[in-house]
Formats: sequence, C-alpha cells, structure tokens
Amino acid sequence: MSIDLRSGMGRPAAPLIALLAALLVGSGPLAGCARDPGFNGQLVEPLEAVPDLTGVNWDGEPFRLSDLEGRVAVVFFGYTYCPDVCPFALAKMKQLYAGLGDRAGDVGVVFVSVDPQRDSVEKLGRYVPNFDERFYGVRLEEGSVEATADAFDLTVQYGQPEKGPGTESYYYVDHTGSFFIVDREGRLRLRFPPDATADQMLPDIERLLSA
Amino acid sequence: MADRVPLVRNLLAGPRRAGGGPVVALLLALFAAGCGGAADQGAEGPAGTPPAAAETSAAGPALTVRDARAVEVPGMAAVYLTVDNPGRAADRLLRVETAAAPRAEIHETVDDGGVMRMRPRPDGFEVPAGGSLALEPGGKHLMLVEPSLPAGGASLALTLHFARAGAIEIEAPVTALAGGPDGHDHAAHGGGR
Repeated sequence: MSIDLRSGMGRPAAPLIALLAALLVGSGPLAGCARDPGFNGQLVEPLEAVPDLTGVNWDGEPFRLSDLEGRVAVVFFGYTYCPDVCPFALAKMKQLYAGLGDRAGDVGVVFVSVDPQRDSVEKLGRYVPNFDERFYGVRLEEGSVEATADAFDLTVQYGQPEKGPGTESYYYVDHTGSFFIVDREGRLRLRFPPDATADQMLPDIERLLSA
Repeated sequence: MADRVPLVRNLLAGPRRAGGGPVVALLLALFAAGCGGAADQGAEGPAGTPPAAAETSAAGPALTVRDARAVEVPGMAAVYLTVDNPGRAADRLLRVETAAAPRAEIHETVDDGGVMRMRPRPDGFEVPAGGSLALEPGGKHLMLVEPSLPAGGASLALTLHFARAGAIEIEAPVTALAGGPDGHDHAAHGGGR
C-alpha cells in the first residue's frame, strides 16, 4: 500500500498507524511498563546503559556509578533532611544486605542526595554509614542535579525555605522515591516503587547476580 | 398519654412500618457506639509504658495515645503514633511542642505517582469519633528539626495539643531502624539501647 503524502487526501495508512503505535509504546506512558513474570520489579525498556552519575562519596572519595560495573547496583535518590522517607529507604537497604548475606559485597547500594546545598560530604558521612558503611552516599555537584534528574527521569522539586523558631530555614525536597536496579553490565534493568520492600527486591537482585 | 408515645409505638410497630425496625436498630447502635465503645483503655504503650490520656471531658471518654516512637537520623526525627478516640465527638490534633527540638511540626508524606512529597499540615489531623488517627511511616508524621536527646535519654518527650482534649504529654522511645518492611523496629519493644 503506498502513501502519497502530497495528496492531502489524508487516507488512513496502516504504516502511519503502525508508526504512531510504535512511538507510543516506545515512549510516554507505555514505556517501561512491560512485566516479566520472572521479576518483581518493573522492567526498564529499552535496555540501555544506566546514565552515569558522578559526585563525591561520603568518605570523600570521588564516585562514579560506572565504577560499580561488575556488581549489581541499587540506586535511589533523596536528602538527609528528609525525616520520613529516606531513613526508611536506607533501612530497607539494610534488610536487603541482611538478606544477601555473603553476597552483599556484590551489590552496591547508592544513596544519591539531590540536595547538595545542605548535604555536604561531611553531612552524608554522618548519615549514611549509620546504616551501613558499605553504602555509598553521594553528593552531586550543585549544578548537576538537573542533568541527573533528566537522565534518570526523576522529579526533583525544592520547597520554599521557611524560617522556624530558633532554627535555620527549612525546606523540603519533593523527589522520585523509586529504586533503580542496575545489572553487572551497567545496564538499567528494573525500577521499584517507593513502597517496594526488601523482600520484593531481593529475588530480582539475586537473579541479576547470577546472570 | 397517647400524644407522647405515638413515635415510639410507630417505631416499634415492626413489619407494619417498614422503616421502624431498622430505625430502632440504628438508634440503638448509635447509642451503644456513643457509650464508650471498645477503647483499649488497658493497652500497653511502647516498652510497657501506659498509654497517655487526657482528662475526661464533657465530650465523653478520653483520647488515648499509643505506640508512640521516634526515628532519629542526624538533624531530623520523625515521630509516629496512634490516637484512639472512643468518644462521640471528633477531635483534632492541632500542633506539637517539645523541648527536644526547636522546631516540631505536623507533616504528611504523599506518594504522588512515585514522587514523594512531604507537606506541612497546619490544620492538623482529625481524630474521628469512635475511630483512630494513625501516624505511620510514609504518611502522616510529626517532624522534628535538629532534635536532641536529653542527656542519658532514650526517648523524646512531646506535648500534643488537641482541639477538644487539650494537651496530652507523651514519651516517644527512639527506635533504631533495623526493623521490618513497615519500618517498625520490633527489637525496640524489648528494651532500648
């Protein structure tokens, strides 16, 4: 069937419809919605290298996500002045490490602060090792949060600073609470929602470790 | 005499008055629900402390606060708890005060399609009549900024202010975050550090 786009007749063309369908599936709301019965997490498609992520770890050492190649990585975003979400996300990671036992060393847990203004390397160093010294707590360069958010398709929104009695001003940071799972080859494979449990993530991570 | 009883007689007329039986049942149920309900007055609070309660007021049986616990990280703490309201009148948690932090506020986390948004709730939270208000991880909570534990202390003392019940003082043991998927640290119930 041929399409004469110059004709202006607007004949519905199966190839055009197929193209539109492919665009819809490949992007937008249908992207990444595929489920593999073998995984609890949501598959990320198409399969691509995880965006690189650079900053400084809580111990002062430079951090680059691609350095974790060879290990499975769990990456998630937040900030230390988050009272109700981020501590529990890190606690879940502790449970994950407990579940992995001897294999915990093969899994990198990476907490990335999207609030470099307040989260200094020193602050991250007081925060992250309390959960597990093996966890990474990464401070992004102040200018690079937006680019990182774009790369990972994150929402990061800063609230208005509010002065309170006796304290510095406080602001909250809205942030995507998902967990991103990266395989040993450095490809972003799975996404878990913020309320996923360690029990749900563990089998998927073990499967990626064995791959 | 006939004037004073016709309503009751109609209500009790049973099948002949289709609405009568159910209306009586409803009235009795409402009356029973208002008469104290099943409030767990004897429940143990965290680590064996008795639940905190306000003085009984004209609104009926007192509010009780149970399962209070604090989760602390450097620079922040969140407090969770449950308030039971066995009374007939709804109450409202309006604000929180504590000497343990210069700033203590009522907040709520909302999962907005995977985006975690934390918002202050200056109007507080309702404690429904005959029901409970639950502050739980990932949802409603009290936020403390720059908390400090009293010397040698393993718990935070807070005062909750309610619209009807007034001030209720509570102790929230600080729990370590080893716990289960819901964030509760079961180890804390057996004793603190």
